[in-house]
Amino acid sequence: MSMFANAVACLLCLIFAAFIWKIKGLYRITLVMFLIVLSNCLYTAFAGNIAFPVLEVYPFRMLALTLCVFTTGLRENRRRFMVLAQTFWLWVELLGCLSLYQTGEETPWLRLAAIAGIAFGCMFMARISKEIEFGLIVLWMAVWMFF
Amino acid sequence: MNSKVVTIVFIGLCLLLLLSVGGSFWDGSFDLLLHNSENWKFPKTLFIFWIGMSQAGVLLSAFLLVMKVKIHRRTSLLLELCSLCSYVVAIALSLLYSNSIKLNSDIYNIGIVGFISLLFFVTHLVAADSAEDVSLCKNLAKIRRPLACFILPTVFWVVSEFALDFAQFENSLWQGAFFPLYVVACVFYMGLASTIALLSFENYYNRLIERFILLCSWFMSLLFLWLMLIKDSGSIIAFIFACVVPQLLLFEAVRESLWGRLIVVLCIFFGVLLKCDFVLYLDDFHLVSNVSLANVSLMFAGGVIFVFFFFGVRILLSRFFENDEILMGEESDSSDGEIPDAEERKYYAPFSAPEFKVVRLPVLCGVLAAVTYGYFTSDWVHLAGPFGAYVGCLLVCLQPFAHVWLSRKGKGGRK
Repeated sequence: MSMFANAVACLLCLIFAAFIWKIKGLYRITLVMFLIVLSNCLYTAFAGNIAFPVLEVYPFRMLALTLCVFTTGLRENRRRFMVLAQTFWLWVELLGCLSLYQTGEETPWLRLAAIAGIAFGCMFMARISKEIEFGLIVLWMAVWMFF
Repeated sequence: MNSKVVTIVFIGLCLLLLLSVGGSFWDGSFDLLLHNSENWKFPKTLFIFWIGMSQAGVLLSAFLLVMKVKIHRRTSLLLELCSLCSYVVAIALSLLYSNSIKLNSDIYNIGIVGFISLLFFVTHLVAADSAEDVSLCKNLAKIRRPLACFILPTVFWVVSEFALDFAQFENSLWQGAFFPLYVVACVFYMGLASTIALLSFENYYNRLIERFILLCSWFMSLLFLWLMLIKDSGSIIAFIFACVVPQLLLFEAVRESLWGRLIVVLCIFFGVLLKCDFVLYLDDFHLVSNVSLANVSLMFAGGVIFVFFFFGVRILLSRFFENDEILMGEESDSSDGEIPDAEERKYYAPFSAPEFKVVRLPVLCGVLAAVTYGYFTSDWVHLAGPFGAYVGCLLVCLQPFAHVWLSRKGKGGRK
């Protein structure tokens, strides 16, 4: 996927996260999440070549980034859910890396290490201030764009 | 538990098994049942299905506990027992049809998860037993969530690894990053479906799980369709059974009727079984077009073994299942299961939560064990992680006994 399409995907994730913040109720949130995954799949299918193995999990990587950004807006158990969202992202990336490794293609281990590092760092955070929230979102975007 | 219904189901399954075995003489497929033939592939389909079931119960139980979604102890015990009994069926199949079911190193991972599941189940049982030592019960109750924290990533890893290896060695079409994710989602979905089925025998049903299954079916539909899009092949019939039929739960008449719920759950299981067949043969109609009474017999035999062990253990241990005490992470009848209590709302500084204090030493030892194992065997991908989890779980389970022993020793010393 091109750099521009990747940036648009990142922007979409931020918009989706902002949208989920406003929704309440189990059914509504699930419906919105369903629509988000559907949009991610459609975006990936149109913006990239889905025959390329890396893009198989691209919609779920987008979902993981959306969830990570979404957790910064939580009021309770924020640290726990932040770490869980990043673990989900890590798991999706790890599967991607392993499958690429098995097929003998180039594997983005650095991205994996960066996500693991940020998730580990989040475990040490006590009260998360607005500035740290912003810093985390920037870090995640940097991982998404540059690694 | 409704013993009458269980008896009827068991006798019904036995009769169907006898009929199908008898029928297999008529259609000439009886030889397949007796001989461990390499050409008969249906045992492999069933083996994959039962291996999925064996991960499903414990995965769901641990997931709900880690996410602090409160469910009755009975529900989580049933799920854990369902996992263990599914292991029995999978082991029986692999022993009887070893030529058809070729096992690789993944079986050690699955064995480790089986052992950890057994620890999880036994811990839960003993913690629920009011006749036991009270301090031991309290200490065991405290390690439930830490154990779940070990089990959840281990099951995720083992199922993903199983799927990756299946794609690499069995059918290269499934190679890619999405297939393991899809398999884990299927396993989770099977866990939800089995909860509804098992609770039906208890004359009891959980609206939260029913809502989860409906919501999960939407995501499963997406995953099915995405897989069809990226691989250019997919099982339409499996999609209809596993994803379209559960939408009937949107109608109150189906949702509120026991038979309605059971039919939906059976359709989900059948859909997953069709999918298991599809990932092996890439033919939507393979299972239907190659149907023989030997296949049907084997399917019913699996059902009979499962029902026998599951309800046998359930009846033997009924005093644990029907214990009305409420433990951490579980709910009373009056609560809806989503309201956190005062203890859970309490803020803990990083690395100071009670669960962390329980897991810190076992995690450290587990990581050391995994690194040592990986260093000496050079197997970092397959067994290192599960081996670390195995060591960690053992140490977590030993902690309550060590606490009780130390406190008794302290009291003895003061006297």
